[in-house]
Amino acid sequence: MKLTHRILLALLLANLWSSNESQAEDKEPLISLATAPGGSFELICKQIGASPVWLVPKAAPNHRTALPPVRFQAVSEGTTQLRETSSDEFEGLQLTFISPDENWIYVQMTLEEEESYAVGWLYQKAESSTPQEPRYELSGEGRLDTLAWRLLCKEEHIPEKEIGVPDQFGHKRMSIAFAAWGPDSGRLLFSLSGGIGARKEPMGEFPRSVGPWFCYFNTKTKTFERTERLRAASAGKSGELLTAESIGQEGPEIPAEQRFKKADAALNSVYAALLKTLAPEANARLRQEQREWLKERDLFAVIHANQSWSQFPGASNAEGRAIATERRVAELQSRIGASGAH
Amino acid sequence: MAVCLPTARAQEAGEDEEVPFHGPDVHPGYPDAFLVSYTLRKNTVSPDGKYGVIFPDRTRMDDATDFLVVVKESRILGVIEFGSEDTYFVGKNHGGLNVYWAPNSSAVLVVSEGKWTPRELMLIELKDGRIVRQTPLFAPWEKAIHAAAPKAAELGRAMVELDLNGVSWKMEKSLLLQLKCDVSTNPKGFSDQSSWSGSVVGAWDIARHEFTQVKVKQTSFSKGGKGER
Repeated sequence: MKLTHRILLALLLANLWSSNESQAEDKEPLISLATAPGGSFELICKQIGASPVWLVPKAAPNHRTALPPVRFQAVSEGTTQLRETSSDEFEGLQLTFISPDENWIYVQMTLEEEESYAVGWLYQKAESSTPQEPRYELSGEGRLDTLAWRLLCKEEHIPEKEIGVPDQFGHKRMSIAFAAWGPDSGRLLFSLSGGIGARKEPMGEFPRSVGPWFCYFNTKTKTFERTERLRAASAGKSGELLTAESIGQEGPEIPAEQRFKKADAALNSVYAALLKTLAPEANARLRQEQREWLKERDLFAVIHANQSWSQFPGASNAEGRAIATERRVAELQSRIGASGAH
Repeated sequence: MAVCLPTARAQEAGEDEEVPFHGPDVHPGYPDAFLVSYTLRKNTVSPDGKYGVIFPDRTRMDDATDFLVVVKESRILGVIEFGSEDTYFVGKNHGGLNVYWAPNSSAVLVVSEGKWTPRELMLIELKDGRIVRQTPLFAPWEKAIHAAAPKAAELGRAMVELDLNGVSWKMEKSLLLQLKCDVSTNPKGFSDQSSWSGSVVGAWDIARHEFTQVKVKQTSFSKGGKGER
């Protein structure tokens, strides 16, 4: 048999084997971790906390690919020693946040309970990617949290070796937390928190601590960035950060409670105006509808706070109430418009 | 005619078996918090398979909330209105969650367990796929016991131990939630304290919105360490 024939046969067999493997795996129940905003792919795993995370293109569900693993130090179960391991070997939940334009995937993994030690990294859509089969590769010169901690140490004048010092059981406090993707996908907002120096006793207090220290990763320049809004929030001089600024639209964040109060005042006005246009029966119906809507608003706010993964659940809840109220204002305004048109 | 209904606590079907539940997609591209941070146990699903109770894990301790959900529709019916101390989450100290559905799935008693007494007994009534009323029953149940057992009330303190050991549903003129429990005011048996203990049965009438038929059985009372029955 000629060499080229042998190669072709080997490729054919490899393809058949891979296809069978894929079919066998397809029979297992899978968990969907996140769906791309445009729906072009899904990130799945075999069970919550299991590695690896697979990318499944919507157009070719049988051609799933595992996201490339990253390495970090973690304490294995039953030991007290930190050792180098890989995201594919370590059992832990990988939270995946896909950017609105689907070009980036941020992954965060908690390595200890209570989120005291968490790492994060970024994937970028590969140039060889196609709409039918999107492919992602690791972005940057290292893990996002490692690079960001380096920047924090430089800006805050903290020796790098004093961050994340493990205690005698290998526990350390050094975590990255996702905050938001910018609406234009230009910025990923995250924060760092950690202990500085060594604990005097296991589980005890650190001599000093830092965080939440807010930072952006700018996906256009591929560099870290800290705007005035982030510096103010990190210094505790402004409210709780929920959103990332779009590029070119930088400015202070309106506190969620303030946004809600503004929307609520607008709702009171439009609701009163609509009531005046209605006959008594319709008036009573609207009052009942509004009472029901208030319950729906509060439920939406709780759901919103959960699904936002915010570090500030109270502020996120207020943001949810604001969003629901703004929608209600628009809805009631359109009813006034419709009744006026008639 | 009274119709006795078998209790619909679905504990028999796989005590801890979990069912995946997907929450509403509020943030496209983000992980589904309801899938990864919440648990829907099969034994909390209603007899008609429509509804279930979900509770959070430790990642949601700061904003812990238990929910009543529509199992197959990624829909959340409402927050279970436990107080913040009563909400159950995985790993809660002396915590537990038990769910008792009416056989016709029109009402459910959700019990947030505690160390000596349940933290709360939340009765939730449903109609046309919506929650129509939530009633915290622990305080009225305690009040009903005190009314039925004045000797216990005389001791001037709340039931120190209340072991809820029977929940069932009965259809009479309206749906009745029947509760059975063992109560003690001095479960550790401190000899210098008067103590009252007994078994209590009672029924919450859904339509009348009150406890009826509260009866106390097998009481014992001891004063200053000298028992008298």
